[in-house]
Amino acid sequence: MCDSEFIVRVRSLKKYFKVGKHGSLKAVDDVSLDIRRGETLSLVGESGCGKSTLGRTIIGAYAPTSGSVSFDGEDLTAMSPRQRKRFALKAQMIFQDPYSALNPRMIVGDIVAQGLDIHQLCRGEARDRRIAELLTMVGLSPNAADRFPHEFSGGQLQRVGIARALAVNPEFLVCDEPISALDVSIQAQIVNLLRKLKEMKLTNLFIAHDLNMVRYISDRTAVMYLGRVVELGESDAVSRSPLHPYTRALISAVPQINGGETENTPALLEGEIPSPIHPPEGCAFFGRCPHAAKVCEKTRPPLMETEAGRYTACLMLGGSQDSYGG
Amino acid sequence: MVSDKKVLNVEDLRVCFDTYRGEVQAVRGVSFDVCEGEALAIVGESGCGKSVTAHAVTRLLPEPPARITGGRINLDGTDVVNAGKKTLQGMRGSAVGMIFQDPMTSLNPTMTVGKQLREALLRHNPGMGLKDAELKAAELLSEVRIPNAAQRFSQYPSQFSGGMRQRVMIAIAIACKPKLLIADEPTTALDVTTQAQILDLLKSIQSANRMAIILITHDLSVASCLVDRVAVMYAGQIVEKGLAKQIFQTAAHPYTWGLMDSLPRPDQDKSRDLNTIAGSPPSLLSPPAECSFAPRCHFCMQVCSQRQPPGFELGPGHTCSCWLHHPMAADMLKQAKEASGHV
Repeated sequence: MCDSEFIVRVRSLKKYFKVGKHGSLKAVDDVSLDIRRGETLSLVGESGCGKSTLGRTIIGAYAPTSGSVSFDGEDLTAMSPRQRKRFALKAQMIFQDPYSALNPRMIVGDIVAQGLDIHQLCRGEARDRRIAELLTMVGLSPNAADRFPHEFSGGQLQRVGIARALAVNPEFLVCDEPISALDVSIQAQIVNLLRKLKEMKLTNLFIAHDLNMVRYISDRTAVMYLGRVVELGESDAVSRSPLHPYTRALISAVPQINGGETENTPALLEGEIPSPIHPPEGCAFFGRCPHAAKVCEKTRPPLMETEAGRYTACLMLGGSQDSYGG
Repeated sequence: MVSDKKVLNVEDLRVCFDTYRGEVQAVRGVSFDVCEGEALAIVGESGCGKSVTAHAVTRLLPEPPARITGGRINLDGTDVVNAGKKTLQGMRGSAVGMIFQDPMTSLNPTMTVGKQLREALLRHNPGMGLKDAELKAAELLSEVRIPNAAQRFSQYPSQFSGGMRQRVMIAIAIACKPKLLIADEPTTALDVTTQAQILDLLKSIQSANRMAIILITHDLSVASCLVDRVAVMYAGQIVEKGLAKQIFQTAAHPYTWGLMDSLPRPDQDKSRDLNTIAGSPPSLLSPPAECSFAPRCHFCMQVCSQRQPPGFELGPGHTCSCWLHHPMAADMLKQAKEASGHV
């Protein structure tokens, strides 16, 4: 056990998927970041930017192509199967679509207790008590244990998914778009629940694309574009005064209720995210960036510290080159 | 821009679904109309009947199990409820176009995009030749801002991204210049950046063609980008409707307050929990005879759990079905407004 400030350290992580005979899809391309113990770090970006792949690689669901992930000082990539199993007690995941993340043939009690059973944490009456305790913690009635997933609504199923992840008392939670599939009013309930978990000293990697929600729930935000982190900083600072042109575009695209009086069109970002199979040579955002200069086409901008605790990957912003956004 | 000529008039629409557990009353007496060139949003949680209402307008509901049990739908002069199959087929596409939430499942994966577009054109323009249809289809693709339209024409839906597929859907829906476009959660499956592009596209198409739009969404902030009027649905009924300005500035129904407050604002206080609407909507197998929101309402009064509230007129075109707006509940309303912050 190592009690350093950082629970997860990611160094030059790459995850490529093979496409066809010779091609490769660069889902995560050279990402380095640190996650502080007890913080909620959000990963945001458009679909296809590699945020889910990064989350899954960090938790060990995918083997990285190169680079390393260490958890509490232990290198995840070098773990033996036995160590991996022990690691699963510390790190858990919540998925986007609660309908497909839960086995429809199992009753909720068994779903929640999966971790308890696999790691043989408790049996018999103790197991039942723990299930009831977990269901109550996520705001469900203990009677839910005997029912099947199809008897629940999406929001309730997401609560079951959260209870399953919490069953083994993890230290680190990866939430992969846990609210995207839910109604607005249900989203708020789940977000409040996740905030409650924060008080339990959980470290949370929150993957999302709703920036208002991200600012509200997280301490720091990392913005991804085409497999790379383009901006990283305190959530409030990133959403109030975004520095990278992509972050700015992303934030201005969020619709706001403005009273219906004035013209209310979100700013438009032209074009689409380039193919990660043939990513551009220089800055990934080159083709869509309103401030692009000639140098951006050929030179890939590194992630640099532009302000204290604030990192951006943009040649037009400058900054001092420093390590990895710790 | 908005004229008084009604494109769609729905009166006291009732739809139910026959299930093995009984009759689910999905839509319970919904009335609204849409004028030429106007955009109306129907907002509500899943299961509130907003999609069923929209599908009933085009009669695209699977019948059975669905049944329209009452009410009238008048779409540009056509009596939709009693229309025959032929009339309905002629109406869909030419009088009303539709866009769905998931563009992947609404496009045919085995047909090129161009062919699907051409099909819509040929179906409704019997005199049109193949060449003309192709030209028109390519024109439509560039109208919805698909780059390299000519090249994209012979590609399959799988070669398109989600946003591009939704553009193709829009192109098909507007191919025959319908008077009314129904967009059923058109941006829910899309990213914020793509969502902004699609909303902007819908807006410009609407003003260019003087088309009426019904936007179905669960997100009030999406609605506020596009629409002139808003109808808020809950448990199969419209609980509040009015001009966008009235709804977004002076919302009157506790449910609308709840919907607005559950969205985090950019200046949201991070130390406080988000407001939520506790509980869940009533089962529509045996819908309550009283106010259906009463069990979840912070401001529930005795009368609320006894009788259904009528629609109270609050301003021109602004109606709200809530007992708080009864003259006798004026004190209660004041307290409720103060407590909820919607003064």
